[in-house]
Amino acid sequence: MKRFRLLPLLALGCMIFSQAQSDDASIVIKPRPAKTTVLALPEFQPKSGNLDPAVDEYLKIVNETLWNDLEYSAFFKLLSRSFYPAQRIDEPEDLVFKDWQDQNIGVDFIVIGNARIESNYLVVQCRVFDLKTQEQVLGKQFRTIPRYTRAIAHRIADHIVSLLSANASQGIASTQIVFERKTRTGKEIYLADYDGANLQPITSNGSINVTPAWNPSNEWIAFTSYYESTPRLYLVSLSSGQLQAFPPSGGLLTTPAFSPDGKQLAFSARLNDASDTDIYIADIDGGNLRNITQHPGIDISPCWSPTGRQLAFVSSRGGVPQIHICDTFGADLTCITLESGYASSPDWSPDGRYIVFSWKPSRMAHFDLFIAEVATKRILQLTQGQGDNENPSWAPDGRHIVFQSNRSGSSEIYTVFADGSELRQITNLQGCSNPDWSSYAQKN
Amino acid sequence: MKLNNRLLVIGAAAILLFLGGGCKKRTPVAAPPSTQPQLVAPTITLTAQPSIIAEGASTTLNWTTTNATGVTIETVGQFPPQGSTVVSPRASTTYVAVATGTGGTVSTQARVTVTPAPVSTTTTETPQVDETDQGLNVEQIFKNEIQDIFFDFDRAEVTAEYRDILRQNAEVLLRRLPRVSMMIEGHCDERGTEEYNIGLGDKRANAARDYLVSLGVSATRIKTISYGEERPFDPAHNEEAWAKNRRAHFVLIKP
Repeated sequence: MKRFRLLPLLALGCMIFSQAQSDDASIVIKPRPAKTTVLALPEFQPKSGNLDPAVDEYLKIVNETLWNDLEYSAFFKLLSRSFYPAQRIDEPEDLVFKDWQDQNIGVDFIVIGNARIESNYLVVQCRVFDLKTQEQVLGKQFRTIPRYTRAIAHRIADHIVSLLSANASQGIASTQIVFERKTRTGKEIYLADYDGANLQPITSNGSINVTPAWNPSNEWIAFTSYYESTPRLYLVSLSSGQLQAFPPSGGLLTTPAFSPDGKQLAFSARLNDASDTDIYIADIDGGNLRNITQHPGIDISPCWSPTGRQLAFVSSRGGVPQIHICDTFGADLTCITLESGYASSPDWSPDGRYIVFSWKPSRMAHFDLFIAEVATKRILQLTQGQGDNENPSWAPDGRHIVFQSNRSGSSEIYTVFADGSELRQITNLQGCSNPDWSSYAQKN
Repeated sequence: MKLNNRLLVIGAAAILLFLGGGCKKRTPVAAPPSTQPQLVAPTITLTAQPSIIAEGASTTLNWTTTNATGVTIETVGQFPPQGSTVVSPRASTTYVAVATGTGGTVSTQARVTVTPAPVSTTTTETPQVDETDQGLNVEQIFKNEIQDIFFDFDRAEVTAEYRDILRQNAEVLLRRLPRVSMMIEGHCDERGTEEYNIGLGDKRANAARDYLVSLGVSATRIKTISYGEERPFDPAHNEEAWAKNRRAHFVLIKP
């Protein structure tokens, strides 16, 4: 079986934002095969012999979702369906290899599939063929209730990404995003698939519920709620709906972030009569509470490095909010941003190399997204000239970013490939903000 | 009209001339030649007791004469040959007394010095008036008297203008509402980032609390909460709205 070979890594098309090292300005998001791997994706068909016409509706969902997932993965070029033979291709015997071997088309792989309904279950079969070797490289059957039709398409997309990137990248099509949604009375936490589908509320208490954060196993979401008047932290279990108040309280607690091992929370708090917020770390049961930034000024919005040995956070200790890094004891503190303008909302990339954040140069300017390379402090700009762009969060593949933007007039959630391409608006709900991208979906 | 004026001026001049001549201080007239009947010139003494008075106080002028038939004290009046009168000059004054007799006239003078009232160096007494609110409940007083304060962009310092407002608030909280508790809400405009604004609103509320506490309002009466940018007073997206939204807002905690 021939595997797709990774091509040399491509430089991001990011605009150089500052610094003198402009001769060496490329930030490399990897892995990123060029979109020279061409996939053919004929529409999946009702399996011959299927008698339930409802399958057409589910197939429409599978076909749309799978196409979007593969396109969005930024690994492939999808061959336009206008080039495809007219007859249906959903079983291996339908495949006529010579039809696809035209050098001008240059298709590398073909994905075919079909679906049927069997005892109220949707059954989808999918195969991937390497057109050069004429070998089948993937074959899967999925069976589920029709409500999870989209999940099947996501699962197929993730298999294809993993296969064709030589396992170098897991697909993110089955991941989810939590965010805040404005309501008449405040804000509630919502959950959606990474493409914005399957919107569902996590909280519905009529209060202000903000700053949602996943734990690494996607089982818990920590958030800030004003439900008991004083803002404090809660953890909600997605599987059971169980709600736990995080024990430390009094003053103000907000902006929780789970450590990479899931055992600790970093957060911002003003406890008792302190005059402003500091960064604290505690076990998720509230034990071993410690203040790691005993310093005047606002310290808020911590995030962990993927090693769990460092934190990035926002601090106003220099006068204006900037991104600082320190270890988990508060030592080795450095500022990674320009010490001017207004920098906020850091999130550390899963490979540890980058911190994405939002920055605006002056009071009247807009917020844009920037990526700082931690080792060199080089900073590159990701968005430009499209309203305010805030609260970025890395996808677990380290190649995509979710953020909020008011470019359409209202604040909505967008996802983008880390070079600025493949922009998708995933909500249209008149007021969504502060997204956090989950870890890779757990395989069941 | 012109003629009348002229006559008036001439008349006034003649009177002044006469008066001026009459008032002129004279040395006692020398004894007339022996061919004249023997007439003795009058004498007069005039004293002010006391001669130095405070502004607003009074003094007594005393005079005695010989060979006089009457005494005229300028600006005061005509008096018998012996007597006294009480005067209250506003400023230092030299009183001139003229004794008139068959032997002629003689004048003398007495100086009364008026010292200004001393400048008070002690605090003036404030009228102590007990004032209680009638027909207004605590909520109304709080709503009417306790004012919000506003902040500059990305700042949490209370500026001089709003320190004055907080002093007024403290006055009301200490005197008229000594038993109420309050929540100070910190608010921000939408231009910062949402999470940082939670920290900034917190700092603003605490700055307002700390200043009130420094003015004597008990810290136990004050709670603070930050709403960040979640509860704007004006939802518009312009400078005017943003300025309104950067505030510390005072809310009565109902018992």
